[in-house]
Amino acid sequence: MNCSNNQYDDIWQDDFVLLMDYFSESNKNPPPTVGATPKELIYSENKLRLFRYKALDVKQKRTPILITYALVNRPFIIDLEPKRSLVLRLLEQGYPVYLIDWGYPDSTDCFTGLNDYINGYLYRCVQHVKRDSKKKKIDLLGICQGGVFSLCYNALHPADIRKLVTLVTPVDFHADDNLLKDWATGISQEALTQQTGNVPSLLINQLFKTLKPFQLSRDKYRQLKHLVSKKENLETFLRMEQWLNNGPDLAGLAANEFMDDFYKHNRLHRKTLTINKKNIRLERIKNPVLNILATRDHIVPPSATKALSEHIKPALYQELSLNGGHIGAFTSLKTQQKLITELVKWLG
Amino acid sequence: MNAKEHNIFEQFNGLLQSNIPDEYKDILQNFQQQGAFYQQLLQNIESGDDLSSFWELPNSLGFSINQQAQAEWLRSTFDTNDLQNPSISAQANSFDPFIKAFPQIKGALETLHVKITDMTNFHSELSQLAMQKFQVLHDEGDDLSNEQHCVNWLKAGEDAFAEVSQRDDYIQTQNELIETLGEIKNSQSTLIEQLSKTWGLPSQQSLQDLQKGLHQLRIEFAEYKEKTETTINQLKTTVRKLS
Repeated sequence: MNCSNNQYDDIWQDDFVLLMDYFSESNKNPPPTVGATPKELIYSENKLRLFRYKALDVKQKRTPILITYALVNRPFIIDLEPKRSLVLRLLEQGYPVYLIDWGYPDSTDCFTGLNDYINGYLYRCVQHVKRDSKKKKIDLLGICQGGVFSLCYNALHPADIRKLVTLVTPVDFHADDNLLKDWATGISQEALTQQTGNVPSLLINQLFKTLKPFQLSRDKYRQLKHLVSKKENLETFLRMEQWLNNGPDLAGLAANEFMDDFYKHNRLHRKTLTINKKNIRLERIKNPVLNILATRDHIVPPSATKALSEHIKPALYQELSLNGGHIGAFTSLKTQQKLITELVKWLG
Repeated sequence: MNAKEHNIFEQFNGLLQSNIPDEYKDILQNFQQQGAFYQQLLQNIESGDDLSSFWELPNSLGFSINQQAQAEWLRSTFDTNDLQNPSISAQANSFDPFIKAFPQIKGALETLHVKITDMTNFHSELSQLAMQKFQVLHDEGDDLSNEQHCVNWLKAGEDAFAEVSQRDDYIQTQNELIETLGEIKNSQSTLIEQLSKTWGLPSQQSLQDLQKGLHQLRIEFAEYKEKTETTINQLKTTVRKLS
C-alpha cells in the first residue's frame, strides 16, 4: 500500500491502540500459557525434571521417545501452543513421549560440565524412561545442542538406543556460513577457561540477536497489524516472547567446554572429542539415525547438520530437509505436517 | 502533538503505571520505541535526510537505551568523544588507588578504550555501507511504498552487517575486546580476593571449593540413587521370575 507518512502514522497508531486495548483487559486476556500439554513428573534431580506426557486415547506405539532440548532457552518451544506442538503431534500418533527439562542453573551449578550432562543427567533420564516404559531400548530425539548431547550419548551407550533422531543439530561447527564459529575460534583459551560462574541468559540472548541484529531487534515489531488482526496471532507472538525472554543461564563449566570442544576446536567432527576420558566416535552408532535439517537455518547452517552423514553408515543414515528456520522448522504450521509424516514413517 | 496522539500517549503512560503484567509493559514499550523508529525512518526517507544513523548497531541491539541510568564514570569510559574532558579525568582519578595496586587494570582499561573506539569505527562503516546499499535498492526499485522502504532498510542493514562482521579485522577486534573485558573481570576478581582477605570474608576460592563440593555431593548422591534403583529393579525382576 502506497500511503503518505501521515497515513502510515494513523494506521500504526490505530494498531497500537488496539494492542493497548488488548493489554488493558489483562484480566480477560492474561498472558497465554505455554507447554500446556498435560504431563507428569516422573523424576527430578537438582534442577532437572523428567516428564512423561499423558497418553491420548489412541493405540500406543511400543517404543517411547525421549526428547532432549538444548541448554539454551526453555524446552517448551516444542509444545508452544496446541496447533504448533510437536509433542501433541507425536502423542496423536500414539508415541509415548518423555521430555527432559534441564531447569534453571544457579551459582551452585557452575561446575556442571558436559560429562555431568551427558553421562550423568541424560544417562539417568534414559534409565528412568527404560524402567518407566519397561523397554530395554528407547528412541532419542535431540534438538540442536540436545542433538549433540544425544549423538554423544548414543556413541557412548549404544545399547540403550533403538533409533536416534537429530533435529537442527550441528556436527561440523566449522562449516561455512557459521558466524558463531567465526567469532568463537579467535578467542584465546585463557579467555574461555578463566571465566568462572554461569553465563547469563541475557548475554546468550544478545549473542543470538547479534547474528541478525536488524531483523531480530527491530523488524519483528513491524508486524503490528498482523498481530492485532487476530487474537491467535497475538497469542502466538506473546508465547514466543515468553520463550525468548525466560531463558536459563548456562552452567559455566559446560558452556566453556562446549565453546572450546565444539565451536573452537570442532572436536566431534574431527573425531578427537573425549568426554570423561572416553573417545566419542559417532561411527560407533549402530542404530538407524534420522537427521533433520532446516534449509533457512542461520544458527545451525544446513552444511553443519549434513556433516553427520560422514560419520554414520549409509545404510543406517537418512536425511530430511524442512523449509524453515532454526525454530520454524518444527513450530511452523507449514512444515509440521511434513515433519510428523516423515517421523511416523521412519520411526514405525 | 495532536489530540489523537495525546490520547494515545496518556493511555500508554497509564498502562505503564497500571498493574498489567510486566511482560505486557515491556512489549508495549518495545512497540512504542520501534514504532517511533520506523516513523522517523520513513520521514527521513521522504525528506531526503541522512539515513546512516538508522543502522547504528549498538542502538539496534539496545545498548543506547537508558543511558541516563548509567553512572557518569561508566558512560565516560565508553564515550570516545570525551577522552580529553578534564571532569571525566577527575572522576577516573577515583580509580587511582586501585590502578596503583593493579597496574594491569590500567593497561586493560586503555586497551578497552582502544578496542571500543575501533568497534565504533567499524559500526560507522557498517552504517555508511548500509546506507549505500539502501540507496541502490531505492533507486533501482519500482515500489516506493512505506512497506518496501522498510524491507529495503532491513535488507541493506543485514547485508552490510554480513559483509562487515565476517571480515578478519572486525572479528579480531571483537575478540580482543572480549578478551580485554575478561582481563578486567579477572583483575576485579583478584581485587575482591585481596579485599576479602583483608576483611576476613570468605575468599572466592573457598566459595568455589564449596560449590565444587556441593556439586560433587549431588552427583554422587544421584549416582547412588540410580544404582540403588537399578538393583531394586533387578531384584523385582528376579522375584517375579521365581514366583
